[in-house]
Amino acid sequence: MEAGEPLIILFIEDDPAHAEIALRNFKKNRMVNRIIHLWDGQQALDYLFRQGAYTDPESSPVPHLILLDLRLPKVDGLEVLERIRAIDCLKQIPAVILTTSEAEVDISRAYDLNVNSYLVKPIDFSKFSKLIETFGFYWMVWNKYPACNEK
Amino acid sequence: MKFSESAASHPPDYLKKENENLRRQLEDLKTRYDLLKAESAVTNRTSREKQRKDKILENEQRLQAIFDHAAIGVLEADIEDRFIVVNNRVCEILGYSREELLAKKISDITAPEDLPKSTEMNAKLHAGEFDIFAYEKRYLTREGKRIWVYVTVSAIRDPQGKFSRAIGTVENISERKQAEIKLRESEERFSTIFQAMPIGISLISLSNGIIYDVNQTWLDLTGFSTKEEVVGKNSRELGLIPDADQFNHIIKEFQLSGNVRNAETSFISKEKTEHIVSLNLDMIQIKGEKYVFYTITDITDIKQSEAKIQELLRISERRTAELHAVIESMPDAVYIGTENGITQCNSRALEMLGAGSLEDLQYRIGELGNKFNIRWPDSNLPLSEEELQFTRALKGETVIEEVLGTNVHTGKDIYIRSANAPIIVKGEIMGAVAINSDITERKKIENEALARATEIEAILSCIADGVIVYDRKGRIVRSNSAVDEILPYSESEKDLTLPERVSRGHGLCTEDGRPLEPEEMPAYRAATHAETIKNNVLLIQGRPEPRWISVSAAPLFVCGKHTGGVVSMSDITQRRQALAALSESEEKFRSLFEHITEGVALHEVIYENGIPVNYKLIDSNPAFKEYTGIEVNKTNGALATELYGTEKLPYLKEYAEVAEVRKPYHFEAFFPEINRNFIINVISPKKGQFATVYEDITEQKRIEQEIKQKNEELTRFIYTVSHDLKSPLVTIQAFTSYLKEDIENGDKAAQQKDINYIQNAAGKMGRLLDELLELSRIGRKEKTKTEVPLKKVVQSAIDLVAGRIDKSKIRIKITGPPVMMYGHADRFVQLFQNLIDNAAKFMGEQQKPVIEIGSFVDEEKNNAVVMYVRDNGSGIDPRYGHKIFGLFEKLDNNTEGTGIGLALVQRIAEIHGGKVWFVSEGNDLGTTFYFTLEGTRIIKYN
Repeated sequence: MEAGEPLIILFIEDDPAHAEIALRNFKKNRMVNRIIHLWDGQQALDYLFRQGAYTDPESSPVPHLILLDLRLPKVDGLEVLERIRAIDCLKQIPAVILTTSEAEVDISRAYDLNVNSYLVKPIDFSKFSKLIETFGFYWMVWNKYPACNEK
Repeated sequence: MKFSESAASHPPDYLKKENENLRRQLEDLKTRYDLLKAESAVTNRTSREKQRKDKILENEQRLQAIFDHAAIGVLEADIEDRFIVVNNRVCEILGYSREELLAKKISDITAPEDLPKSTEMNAKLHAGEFDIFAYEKRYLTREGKRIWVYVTVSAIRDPQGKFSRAIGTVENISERKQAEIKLRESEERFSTIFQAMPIGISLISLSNGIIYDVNQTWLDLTGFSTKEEVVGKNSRELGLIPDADQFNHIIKEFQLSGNVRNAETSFISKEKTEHIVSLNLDMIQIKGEKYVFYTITDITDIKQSEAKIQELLRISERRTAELHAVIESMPDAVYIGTENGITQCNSRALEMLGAGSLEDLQYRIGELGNKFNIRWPDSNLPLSEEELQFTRALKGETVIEEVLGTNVHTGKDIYIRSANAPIIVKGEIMGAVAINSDITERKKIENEALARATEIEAILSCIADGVIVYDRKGRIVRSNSAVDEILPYSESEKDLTLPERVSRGHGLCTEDGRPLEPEEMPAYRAATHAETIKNNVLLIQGRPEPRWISVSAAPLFVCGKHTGGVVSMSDITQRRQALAALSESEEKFRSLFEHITEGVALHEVIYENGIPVNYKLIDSNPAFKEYTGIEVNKTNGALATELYGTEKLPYLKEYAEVAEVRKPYHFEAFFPEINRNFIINVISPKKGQFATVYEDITEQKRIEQEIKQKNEELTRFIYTVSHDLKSPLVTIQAFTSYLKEDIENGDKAAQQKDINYIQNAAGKMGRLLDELLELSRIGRKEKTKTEVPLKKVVQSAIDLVAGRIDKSKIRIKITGPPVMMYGHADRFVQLFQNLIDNAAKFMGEQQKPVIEIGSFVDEEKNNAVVMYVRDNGSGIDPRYGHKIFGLFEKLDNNTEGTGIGLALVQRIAEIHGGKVWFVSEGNDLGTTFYFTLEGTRIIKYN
């Protein structure tokens, strides 16, 4: 990623309210980024595999980061993760899970599938904000990304 | 003068003479003295008389001196034999003083042994028998010592001739006497020897060959009677020498060497017999003359004896050779010897012990014992020298014993029967003889026979079966101890014949209890009729309890002769009892086998080259048939491959292993044909066999499954709650904050949006909680099931969803035969409600929405009644279809609903023992939800 280039985050969240919260936070923190919001697992796969409605690379660029909820309609978050980790060019993309589930089994499975980070949405809103802020800072400012090939 | 005899004969002549001289002198003197005294008495007064007196005195003195100092003792004794005068010499000889002697008598000083003679002589002298006598006698000295003296006594008589005094001379002849005695003794000795020697002795003058002296033996030898015949004559003269040359030869030798030893020659006796003699010649001198001293031994007899001995020796040698030949020819070993060793033995003797030659046996007997390792057979301990049979024979014992020895040549041990006896010659033990036989072979055979017999004895005594040997009459010859325990005959009964015993009521019966006739008894038949009987079961009544025995009998043939019979019997009472018990036990188990609900099948593994390839059914119980559908009777012995119709038998490896290792094994299996789960226990009652026990665990499994499911549900529930309930909370919290912000900002639109979010979220939570509760309620504390018509249920459901139906203008169609449902009516309503609701929600773009509700009988599902709710809506994406029954799963978040609906439907179906599934092609092709419920049936109208 070049300096100044917007960070493309693929954000998959089915709950509108939660999506709203997250987006709002990102906006508040004024992080230079481009967030592509999808509503279910199938859409995510379509996007990443450049299928369906997402064949155009212009409108559907390869994201630098995937932010993923677990409980998604159609295709589950973990299944999405599993699918993308099986593909060479996709498996490099860091995936962060952002979910309300603290279930051990979910965490365990997620790391089995080489998730890069697992975040749990706190109920306390201030904490939630803090989370997003820190997340943003970490992933957008500190973290270095591999050069992605336009595919 | 008269001389006593003794005086004349005893002393030697010179002494005699001197004595006489002295005595005469004395007598002379005495006479002269007397004369003088007489004269002096007459002529005393004149000086001539004085001169004569002086002369007399002088003579007297001279006399006295002579008297006193004579070398010879002189004494005078009176008529009473008392000493009147004694000279010094007498005192000296006797050791008394003069005073002492003068007080004594002759008898006092005479030795008691000579006193009688002394007294006699003196008495005779007094008496006038003779005037003088002399003799030897013994005096006693003052010390009491005896001394020989020569006493000459003469009497002095008065003119009348009457005895007045005795005068004696005493001469100490002790030394002379001793010498005399010694000489006499010597002479006597010499004479005795000379005379008595068994060897003839002759003394012959060297110069002229004249015989000087010969002894008696010589006389005996030569046949002459007396010495006088030969003394002074020449031997040749006497005709003694037959062979002059030989004799001269001897003489020559004598002259050369001075003596001759053991020269053999012969002479002719007076009787003209020839004698062979052995001569010894020596030179002696007698009074300056040289004589030849011959000793002659008549060896005629010896010579004859020698010849005899030679003859005997020859005979003896021949006998010895004969003996030797005999010994040599004997098949046994013969030894002759003493304690120092074997002096003679035959070659067999050498061979037996592996000795090379007689030299090898030249040891002391004790050492020989060691050399050939002679030992006692029983203890294998070596024999000590005293124990050796040969030694004992040497002591006079006759011993026959058996010992062990070692052949030193081959190193092998041999058994020896050793017969030993002493060799006694003329009552003395000269040695011993041993005759040893090699009995090794015999011993071996003996030992084998003994071992065999002992074996048989041992076998008989330790076997549990009773064995009796009978003679042909049926009398017991022998029996082993086991018999007494089985057939307790008393001692007296044992001697009876069989028929006799039988008549006393022995208690033997057939198996059924009928008493046996004597001819029927196995012993009788074998012993008398030579029959062979095997395993005849007999009953012994009484004694004290009934017992069963199995009897076998066979005839006994010894060297082809039928001598009797042998009977063996074993007590099978216990065995019978055991069998009975076993039978009973088997009954029990068979009954169990037949009636248990678990299916049991017994199989046997079939091996090919040691590898299990198949198994065959040996037995199975009814329950097994039920489970597997395999007929018990038809299939016993069938191979599994045939039974199950498959080449590859499932679990063959595991079954075979159990049959091999005999460790139980179990596993679960599902039989889809009968739709049941089993635990199959495999055990091995015997190697190579295995039994499978089928335990129906379908119910168990179902319950397990249910529990598992419930647990999963619970877990899921909890997770879901934590997630799905949390979610709205997050929303609420967030938008509350946003609301605050927006209020501060005065952004009314935003405010409203925020409030909407909050409310929606809260509402969602509420609904979620309600439905969860509802879900949990299903299956708990239900009322009893009842029958309720489908039609009624559907109607109720439709009513509940009427709103949505009307709004969407959905047409409801009800088809199918009338169905009677069985269960909880309100649950059924819930079920339909959810399905219809879902169908309504997912109409999608359908312009003519139709929901069809119907039922039919599915033959494939065992004629179960299947109900369905069909819509022509958007359908379900087959990719996600499997998820729809999950709790809170929603395929489309845009649609309403909590996502619990279908979970509910499934739950309801489950508790009614039914299933729910759907069919949808997706993509606006509608969906059909099917479900079955237990107890649902088609209503049949009569």
